[in-house]
Amino acid sequence: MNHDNFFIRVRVIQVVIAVIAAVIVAQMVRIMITGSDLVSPDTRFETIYPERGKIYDRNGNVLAGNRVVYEISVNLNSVNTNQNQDQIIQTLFNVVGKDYSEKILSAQAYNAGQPDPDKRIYYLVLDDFIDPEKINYLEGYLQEYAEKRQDKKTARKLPALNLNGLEWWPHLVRTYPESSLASNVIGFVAFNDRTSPAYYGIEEEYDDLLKGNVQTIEISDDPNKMKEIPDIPPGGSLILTIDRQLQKSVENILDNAVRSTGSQSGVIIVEDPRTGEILAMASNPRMDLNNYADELAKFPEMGSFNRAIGVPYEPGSVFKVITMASALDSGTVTPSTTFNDTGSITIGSTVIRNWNGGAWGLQDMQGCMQHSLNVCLSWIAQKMDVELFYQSLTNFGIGKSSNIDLAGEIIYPLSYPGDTYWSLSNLGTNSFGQGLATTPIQMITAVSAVANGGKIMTPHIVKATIQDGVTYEYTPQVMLTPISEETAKTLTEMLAKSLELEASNALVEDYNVAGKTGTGEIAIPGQGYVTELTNASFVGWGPADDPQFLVYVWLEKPTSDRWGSIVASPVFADVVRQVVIYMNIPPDDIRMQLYANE
Amino acid sequence: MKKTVKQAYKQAPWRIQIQRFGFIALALVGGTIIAFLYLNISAQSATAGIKIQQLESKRANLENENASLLTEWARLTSAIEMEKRALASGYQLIDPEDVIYIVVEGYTGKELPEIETVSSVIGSTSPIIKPSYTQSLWEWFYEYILIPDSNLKVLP
Repeated sequence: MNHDNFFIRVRVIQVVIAVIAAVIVAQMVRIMITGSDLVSPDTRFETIYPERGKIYDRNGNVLAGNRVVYEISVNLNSVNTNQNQDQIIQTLFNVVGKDYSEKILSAQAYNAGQPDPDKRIYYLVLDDFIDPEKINYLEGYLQEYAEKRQDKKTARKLPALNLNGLEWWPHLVRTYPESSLASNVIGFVAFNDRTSPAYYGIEEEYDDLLKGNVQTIEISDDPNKMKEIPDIPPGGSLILTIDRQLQKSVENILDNAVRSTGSQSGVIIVEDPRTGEILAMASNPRMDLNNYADELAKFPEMGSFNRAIGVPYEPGSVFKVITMASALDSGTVTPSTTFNDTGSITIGSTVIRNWNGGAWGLQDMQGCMQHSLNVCLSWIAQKMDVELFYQSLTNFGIGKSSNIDLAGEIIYPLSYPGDTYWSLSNLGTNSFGQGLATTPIQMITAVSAVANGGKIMTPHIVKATIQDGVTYEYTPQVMLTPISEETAKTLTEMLAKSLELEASNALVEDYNVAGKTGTGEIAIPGQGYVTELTNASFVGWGPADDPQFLVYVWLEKPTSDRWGSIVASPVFADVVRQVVIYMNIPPDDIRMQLYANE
Repeated sequence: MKKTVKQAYKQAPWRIQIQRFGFIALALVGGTIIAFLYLNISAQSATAGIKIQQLESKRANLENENASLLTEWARLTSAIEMEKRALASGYQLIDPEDVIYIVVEGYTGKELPEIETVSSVIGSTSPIIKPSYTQSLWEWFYEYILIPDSNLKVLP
């Protein structure tokens, strides 16, 4: 009997152990094959935003970088008691200065009424773009609290701090260490929305390259199921052709000029005509890119963020450079061709007069440019004939994109013979830069042919791109060749002589420069051209025998004086005085000595 | 007539029970050893996984900090700040006529600055985490025992 009982007990134990073992093994196999919610926490999908590529000036100074900010969130699954929740709310109120109780309570109320677990809120983002200083303060506060809790003297006075579920995560946002410097060129990124595109300038034009490859990856909290987080490379970086120091000097000169002449706004562009590199591009007004939301109101008009590429205007007499270059290159005139200026000429239905209404008598082409005679230039255009004249303008790229690598370039199409708004009068007015509209970048691009031996290089603002640590330098490209080298040289000499003869305000001591003023009248709807409102411009380049820089100045609606020769020419001279320093261009006599020694 | 004598005997029942119990106990001990080894390896791999997560997080933080510091350095050396410091130090803006030009043999002008030449991308395309840290026992069994040819793929 005893034996029987013993065997029965042993058998029972065997069966029980075997069943338990079988269950364990079965569970292990099940977990191994199918996984288990008990040991495998939910995986989540997270979007990884690579570091946005930086933007440097040509000397490696950072114009656009990134800085760390924090996202604060609560994992509602981990908040286990009311005290826990209250302490999170109170701590954040102390550190961040905001009350998040409503946000947390409404999420919990939502979860309470949501029967589907998959639709409940578990990860609640309370705030974002929190400064690191506040997080440092929070971490210091928690550390200090923990130390006090460990100290027997102070531990009794302090309740246990339970911040389960409170999380803070760093991420990068765009920042602009130079604030408003070159803001019109750089553009901006709406940093409070990581999915938002970039706006204007370089940021928009090269957005795809700068932002890199955004990836969404699956992340598991189960270390056994952990996958390697892919090493997502940062976005490509850009080295601009802009020289930070020159840009700043040019911006200062422009701001002073706008202020002193009472102009509504202004633009200065400095280009190296040999390569098409934009060395400086200043537009007034500008804005602090770190405070874009408040400052965008400065730019109510379309394109006004960067007036150099976004605001077409009637350039006036600076356009005579194009007309004269076309006429010289086509053989229509030579520098010695004479014209008897009677003070007016009728083309189509329009009587064209000179800027002072006077008759300048017998003039050669040098005199026509020196005195900026509208009548003479209209006569030249008439002599060229309609087809040749407009073909020449097309050859200079007038009415077309300059192809500059900046977002937001506006193109005002040129009216050609046969177009609805074209009449024969346009031939006359177009010859001296009225009745058509170009942006400063289109004008400087066209004129660069004269400053660069007849070739127009594609204007560009990116000197190199950097991807995966490799630098890819931009190769300058010839975009158009509207005139011959000889024509370019001849016209440059004519314009340099013009400035000397009229003792222009644009002259720079020790440097021989060529250039042309422009005073474009402004048409007001319903009133026609208003004499008091002008666009004052100047385009010039130097050294005249070996042009290395090309400068375009535009002051919009100056009130101190309406003439480009008075308000824009001295601005050109001021810019050149800075340009020669930054570009290491010695005075002409020293340069000639150096050439002679070579 | 030849007689075949067979000795008939039977193990005592308690002995049979003991044997069976011993076999089961042996199986259990064996299973326990396997489970122990498995758990031990799992724990090690989990620890390594956590360590890798921590290191990846640390690396991300360091990259962020680097980016932040570079930008802060750029702010501290911005054109406006440098001008302030230069003026405070007694420097003044130069006029073109004050510039002295000298010939420097072999100088070809400023070259493109060398920045970000070291890639932040690790060149290796092979995964950092070895499969042995992430695969389950079943996956290991399947890959290395059932289909051993697949082993060739991961051999260096």
